[in-house]
Amino acid sequence: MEKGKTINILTSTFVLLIGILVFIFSRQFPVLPEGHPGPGLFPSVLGGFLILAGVLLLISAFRPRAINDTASFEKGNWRIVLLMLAVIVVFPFLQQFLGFLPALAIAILIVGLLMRLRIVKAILVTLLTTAFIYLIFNQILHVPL
Amino acid sequence: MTELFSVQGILALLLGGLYGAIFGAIPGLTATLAIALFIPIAFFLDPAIALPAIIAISSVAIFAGDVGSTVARIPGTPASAAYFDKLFGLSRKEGPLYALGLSAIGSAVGGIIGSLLLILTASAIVTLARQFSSFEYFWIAVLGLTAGVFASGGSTLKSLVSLLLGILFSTVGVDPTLGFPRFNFGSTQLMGGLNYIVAMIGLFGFSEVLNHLFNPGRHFDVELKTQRSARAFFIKPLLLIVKKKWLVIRSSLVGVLVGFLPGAGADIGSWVSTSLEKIRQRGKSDDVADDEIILSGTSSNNAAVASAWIPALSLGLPGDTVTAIVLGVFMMKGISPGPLLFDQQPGLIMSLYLTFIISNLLLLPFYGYLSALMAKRLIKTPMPLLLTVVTALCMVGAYAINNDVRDIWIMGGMGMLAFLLQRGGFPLAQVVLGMVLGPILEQNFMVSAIKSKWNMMSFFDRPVALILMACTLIIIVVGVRYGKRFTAGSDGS
Amino acid sequence: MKSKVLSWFFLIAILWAAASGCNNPGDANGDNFPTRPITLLVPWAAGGMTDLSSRALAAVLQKHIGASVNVINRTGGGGVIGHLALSQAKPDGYTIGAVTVEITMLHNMGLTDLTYQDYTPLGLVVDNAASVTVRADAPYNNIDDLIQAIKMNPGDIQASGTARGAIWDLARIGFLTAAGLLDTDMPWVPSQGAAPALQELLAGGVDVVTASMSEVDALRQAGQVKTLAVMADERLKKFPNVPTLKENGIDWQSSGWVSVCAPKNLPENIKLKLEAGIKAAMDDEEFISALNTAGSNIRPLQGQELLDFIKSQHEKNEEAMGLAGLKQG
Repeated sequence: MEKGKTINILTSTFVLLIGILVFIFSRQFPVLPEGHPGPGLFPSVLGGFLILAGVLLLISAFRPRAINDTASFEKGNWRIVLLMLAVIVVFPFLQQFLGFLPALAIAILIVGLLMRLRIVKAILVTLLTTAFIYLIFNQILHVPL
Repeated sequence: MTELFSVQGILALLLGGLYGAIFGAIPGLTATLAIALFIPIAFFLDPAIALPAIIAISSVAIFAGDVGSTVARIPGTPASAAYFDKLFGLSRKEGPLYALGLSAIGSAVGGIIGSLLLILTASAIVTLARQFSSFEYFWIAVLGLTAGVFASGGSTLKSLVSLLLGILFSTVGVDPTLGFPRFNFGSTQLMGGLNYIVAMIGLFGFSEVLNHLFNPGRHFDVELKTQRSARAFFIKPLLLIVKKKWLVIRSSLVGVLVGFLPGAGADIGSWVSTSLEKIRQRGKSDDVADDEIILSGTSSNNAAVASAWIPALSLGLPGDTVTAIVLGVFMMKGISPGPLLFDQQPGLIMSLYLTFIISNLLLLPFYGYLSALMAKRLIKTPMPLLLTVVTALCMVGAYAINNDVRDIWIMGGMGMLAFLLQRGGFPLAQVVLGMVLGPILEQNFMVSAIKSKWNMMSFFDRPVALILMACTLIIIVVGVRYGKRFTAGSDGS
Repeated sequence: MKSKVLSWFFLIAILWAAASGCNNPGDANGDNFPTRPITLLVPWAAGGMTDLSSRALAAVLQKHIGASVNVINRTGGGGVIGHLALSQAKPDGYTIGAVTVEITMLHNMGLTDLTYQDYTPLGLVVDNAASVTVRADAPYNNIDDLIQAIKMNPGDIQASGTARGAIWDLARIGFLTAAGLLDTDMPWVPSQGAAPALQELLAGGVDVVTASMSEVDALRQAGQVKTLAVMADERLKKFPNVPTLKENGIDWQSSGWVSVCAPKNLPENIKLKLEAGIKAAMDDEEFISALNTAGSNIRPLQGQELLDFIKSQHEKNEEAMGLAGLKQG
């Protein structure tokens, strides 16, 4: 319960912050001739709504009988999640040097290992998936890989 | 007419359906992606083959978007995101065959009702559609978004935040009405905006991968029920549909009526009717409510697929990507769409109508059954194996939309966002709805405002606009009033 | 443990083989061009006018050039994304692309630094003149009626067709200026494109649409709209009954065009091969009939003529945008 409250306070503050940022940003957009609101109108209304929602969320987080609807912050492996994200970040660079399919094969293999597949199984999945993707996307749908 | 029954015509229907089924059914690949990737191929085909294939793909793929929800909580279309939680829950409770049977048979019935209405009332709907100006489109978008807020099982406030985030993402890039770049932070890639299909692949597909890596075994708690296949897939859903015929008819009508909104007809139809049923069902027992909510969403989105063709065929004005391709195919082959089409090419129109009926009556149950059997196998695949493949498909799928590797970063970022949002209790489907409807809302607001010289009263001047506004108000009042009871009555996960 | 090392070894061997398989045998001076498929980038969405004409050209071009030509849509950013992608591609002839009239406008709006000088123009494909189109039941039957009506109540009659500052808005500004009117006398209502603008026109939301003849033709044939004038030098072959603005004493032409270009610094011998292929494709009966049914006006221009055409468009559109206050910095 305590933990859920902390998360709710954290997220609602975050929502509030985004709202304020969006609002400030959209004030800098130009206005139409004759002073009518221009490209900034819609984002600034959005920002306003986000601020409102953030404030209301914050209030409800402090209410004594707040419903705990946050996924109880279960213990988990943050390191492996970050490793997975690293694969995504590196991939576009990797494919410049190796070409799309070889880079994809390496990525799949790493993901398979992150998923704790046995190495032989991981290699098998890598080869099959790469072949499938090559066939469907490149050969049939003409996506340049 | 005759070409439809040629070998090529039938083959086109079968292959189109198969393609739609495969793309929709594989978690990580979306039905929306299937249609987007078919565009280049459609232009090389004879129209007698291309058009049936397109109809078959869009009818089957809209359903097949539900397969991913059943197997791995990964919906394949924004329309199926409206009820993907319920569908996943039902497939764990009653088995994937019943869940997908409900979805396929519901889609088929909704699609047939939609097609029949298209055939019988096309001219009347055209007259109505011709009256639609930016004011009406603005109010339809508002109605869709309002329905989205109250369609969540959990906190209404959090669902509003998700929706606002989605709309915020949709403002990235060059402002479509005034041509001013927003929130691109100097990046040319972002100037092109965030593609909602790429975002959807990340939000639903990749986030499941992250969830599993973070805490394996999170989804492994339910024992699967085995069942007799044909009975669960065909008979049980049919019985429910017969019992709930008014619900199906009501939802299909909603689908047809909002279907011709350019860009998002099927999605809004599905969201409005599920939200309507959720509000109607408050207080009843959970199981019954789940069945009916799925039924209403699935029948209304296939009904909308048919009605999206009305403005394209009758006015020559394409509403979405699919109908834009259709018009392109027409023109390449020397057929000019528009009101004259009905007089000049009655044979072609008849065969299009027929294709709609065949797609819904035969193809949907057939491929639906096949993909349900496939889903039954997929669901037994060990999660680590399945998700490894899903990761690869997410990467390729995100890339294939624009042939831009940097979209893979956006996909990954959206996946991480979804991972965090879920932990804060924020729903994901609303983000996609916001991304789809945001541009429609803004454009039609700006166009209306500029057109009426910023006289805000003009938004309340037109009768159809007023009716749509009244519907929105009713949803808000009922939603807020019964919000509490409604939250208590559902599982809220 | 041993099997693990072995598997890694095999995997790397396979990947290496795959990677080296992707590199094509060198053709350093382009004498054998083309030896592999050519990609044609389109900066606009599938189904639109640019996309349709590019696809029609690609389908025929591959016959004449002896390699398959794949059309890829790179959309977004009001055309910036696709145009930028083409300018950044390797100038080896294997990536060519559609470059549209927007290349003469985007830099004025401050969206990009790209201009026509970043490309090697290979050929003009279509050139579709703008029109002045109104509802069939509108009270004006010719362009003078419309101008009188605008003069009576400046600002009351509204026009639409594209986003603000995009091609059909420019057509409107030039038309108003040439007729001695102000930008605000017939204000612009932005829209997503010609189709939604025509929907607005039918619903009574706007009064005039300045989209091209090919875009309004379906509704015109159906008797839902009428075209008062076309913004071309002379009457169009396909629409001999539609008068030009010039006939009414208004000296203004405006059109949306599509050209095929390569990135700049394209080797001369490859350029010649591509130009010859495009010329042959555009003379092909199949291409001509496909574009005719789409209502598009084919205008083959190549070499110096094409360069002069794009340059004059560049200067003309810059001036029009300056007049409308759309030019940034």
